[in-house]
Amino acid sequence: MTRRGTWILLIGVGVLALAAGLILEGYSLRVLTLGLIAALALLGLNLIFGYCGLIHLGQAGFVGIGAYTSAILTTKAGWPMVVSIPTAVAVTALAAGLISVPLLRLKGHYLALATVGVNVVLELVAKNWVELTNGYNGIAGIPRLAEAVSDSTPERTFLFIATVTLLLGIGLSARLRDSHLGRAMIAVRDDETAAMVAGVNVVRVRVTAFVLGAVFAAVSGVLFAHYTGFISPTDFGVPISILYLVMIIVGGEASIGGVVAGAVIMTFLPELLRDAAERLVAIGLSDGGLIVRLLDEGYLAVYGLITLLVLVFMPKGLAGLIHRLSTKAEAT
Amino acid sequence: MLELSALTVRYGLVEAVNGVSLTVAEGETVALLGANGAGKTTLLRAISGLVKLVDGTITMAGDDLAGVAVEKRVRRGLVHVPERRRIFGGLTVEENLAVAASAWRRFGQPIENDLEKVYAFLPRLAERRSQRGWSLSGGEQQMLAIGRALMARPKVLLLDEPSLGLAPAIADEVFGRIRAIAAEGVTVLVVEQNTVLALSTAARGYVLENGCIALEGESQALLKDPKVREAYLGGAAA
Ligand SMILES: Nc1ncnc2c1ncn2[C@@H]1O[C@H](COP(=O)(O)OP(=O)(O)OP(=O)(O)O)[C@@H](O)[C@H]1O
Ligand SMILES: [Mg+2]
Repeated sequence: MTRRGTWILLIGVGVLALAAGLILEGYSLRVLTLGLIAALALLGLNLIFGYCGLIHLGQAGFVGIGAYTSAILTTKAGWPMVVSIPTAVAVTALAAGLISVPLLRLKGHYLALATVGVNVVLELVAKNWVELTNGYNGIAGIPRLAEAVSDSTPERTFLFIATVTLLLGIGLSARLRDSHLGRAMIAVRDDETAAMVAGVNVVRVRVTAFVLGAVFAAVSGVLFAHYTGFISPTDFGVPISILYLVMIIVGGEASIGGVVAGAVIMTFLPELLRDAAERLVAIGLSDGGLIVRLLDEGYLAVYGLITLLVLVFMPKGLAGLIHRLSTKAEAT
Repeated sequence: MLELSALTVRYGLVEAVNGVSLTVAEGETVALLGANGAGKTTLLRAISGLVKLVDGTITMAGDDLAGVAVEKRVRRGLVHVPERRRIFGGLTVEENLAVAASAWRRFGQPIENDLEKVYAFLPRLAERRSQRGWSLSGGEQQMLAIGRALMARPKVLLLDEPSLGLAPAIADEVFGRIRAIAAEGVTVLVVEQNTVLALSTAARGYVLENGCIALEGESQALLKDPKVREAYLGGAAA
């Protein structure tokens, strides 16, 4: 991305997020905040999958490591958030580094399957190590970041925190894309052999991408934990990891703006669908029939459908679509 | 400068290279000829470390390369331009070049001088510097593949079929650049199907057949050799 493009994106996202934060209320505001938090995890996955080409179906697991570490440290060990949050990020990075050594020996489908395996194991640990994680019950009463800053408007305060963190993440991603490391990641994605003979240390680049991506995941996780105040194993399961990958594909892989848009749109989608279902019921068009149930509960099916449509009709995602439209506009 | 002795490489049970010995002196240009499937690409891959040896040794400037990783060989100046160019499609021309400075860049040296040299040497790349790799023509891609190799500051350059798929005039242009690189003192080992072009560039040549060296000699002698003429020059050429 050009330097100008990065600034436009940063300002655009910042203004949009804060404006929406002023207009939206209650539940919609909450969904927006969750969308911004998801976008951080996605920016991390974008480094791993979008830039480096590693199919990673376990990103939610690393979001979970971050969330659980900080949640446990604050609720069980009584650590203050200023210490627990950086510790959680460091623990996640360390875990990613250790796991990446055996993991990244695998390629393609095998790697994808192995990352699912990692996520499943992490979920099992969260469900069964009850003394530490409270198992299925999850951890409640996690201290809230926003309340530590401001008592009167915690929702808006947190949106501000999430927006600023996301902007940092976007800036970092853009810087990385234009750094030697970022170029090396794309070289490894495009052609591993050519990257090797160009003198790139392929293993090191992959591990770095994986660990950096996990750091983004951890930040997303600690924000989630200290925003909602409650986490449970299903927040970080394989279905969430799959959703992340779907969001990247919808947004357009390797495009920072597309990834952020994909995250926000896909987070709003279930709410929009639920809304649509309620309207259908309200105007008496349906009384809870198949369509309503599908809209209300079957949003995974709708995600699947959207992904399919995107893959078939716009393989470069939203970013590709916008690029096509803008070049068309320039041409006329 | 580069010395292979009794090199053997297998893919599973298939013996692709079988007991090959050859040498390339410092500053020399040597051609490696052979039919499809003779094992030429495999031999270059073995030299750059992309495939493991079953047997034999490779030394560069007297140092045994056994156990030296691919990117470490690049850092020592052993640079491979792979078959079919293998450009990074998602990177611009300039980024393709910049990433190939990986080998020495970690010492914190700026790459601008190297970039300028490559652009001066291959002016067509300068015109295309912000174009994505995938959008280049075949000839431009080959130039970029060579430019990328130059960014790694080669002492020994391994080229795999640089004329593959190029129109004759472009192939001549590419070989003109290869000669210019050799004239700077770089040692060159070039694999080529275009026998005339290869032997008019190289001082010596080897002919590989089924993984073994079948013939070797001065380029002029090889060009006159009846076996070479029959196999690679269609026999009729006078
Ligand atoms: N990855 C591989 N796995 C198994 N066999 C291989 C592999 N690569 C090459 N071979 C086999 O090894 C032999 C030598 O192949 P190689 O590519 O080195 O030949 P070449 O001389 O470069 O041919 P060409 O002129 O077609 O490029 C062939 O029989 C080929 O089928
Ligand atoms: Mg070959």
